[in-house]
Amino acid sequence: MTMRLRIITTEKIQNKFAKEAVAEYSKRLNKYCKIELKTTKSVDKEIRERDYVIKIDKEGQSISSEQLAGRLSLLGVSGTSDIVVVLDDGYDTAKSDFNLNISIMDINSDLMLVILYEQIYRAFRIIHNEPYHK
Amino acid sequence: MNIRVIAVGKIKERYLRQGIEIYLKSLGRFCDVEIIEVADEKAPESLSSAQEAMVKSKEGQRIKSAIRSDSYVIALAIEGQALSSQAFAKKLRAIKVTGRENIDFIIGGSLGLDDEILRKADYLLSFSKLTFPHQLMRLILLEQIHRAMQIRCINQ
Repeated sequence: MTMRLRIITTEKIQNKFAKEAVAEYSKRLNKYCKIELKTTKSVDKEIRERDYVIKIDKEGQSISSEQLAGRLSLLGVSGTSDIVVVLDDGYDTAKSDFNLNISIMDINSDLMLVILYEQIYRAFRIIHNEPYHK
Repeated sequence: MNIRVIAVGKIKERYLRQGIEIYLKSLGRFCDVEIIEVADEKAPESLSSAQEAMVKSKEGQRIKSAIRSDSYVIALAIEGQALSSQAFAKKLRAIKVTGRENIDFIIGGSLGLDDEILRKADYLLSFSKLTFPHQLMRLILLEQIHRAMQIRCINQ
């Protein structure tokens, strides 16, 4: 079953470099999953009953890239194929299934999006036992 | 404040070069920043751990020669100290208060940093438990230094 990932963010991409990076990682990710980026101010409306929701949250859990890959892989195995990653500080953590801490630093929203895409790509490379540069 | 970012290898992706350019240009208003790129060693997946140590050691020697003798050295390492942006800005200010004008940040190559560099550093800084590509790390670091400078501006 192909995994479907949706990245939902409240912030429009501002810089060209981020647009290019997201396009590049989306292309590479096509091999492993369906990935879609949605920009909206009403995140709640985008989330459906069957979605597994990961909120990027500074108070969330800090895990390694290998652990993140392990989690994604487990979700796939258990039949969860719709995953939503929320980039919205205001999103209620009680509503998400997992809160992931990427960094306790504040990071520009463009850059955060690039980091997230790279990390998802890295996770799939790890899941498929493929080499990846650090 | 005079900041040097010592990193390994050339940036290959165009979008990373563009992003780095943006922050370098903007940082120019706050402080002197330069990036010193030292040559990288080839690191294919097939390397044995001894060969990997050799790569890190060679890159480490080049990094060492780019470190200034009077600088405060901050090496980026996953196992280092995690700081909030506010705490990072405070840290930079504290270094300045002690009279150190020069700060050298170090980002390792694709295999990471040589132990000798990790030991030599005054401070180990961690951005995340996640592993980021070292080339993307350069952009993340510059954005954070830029943020710290803005925080300092507001507080002064």
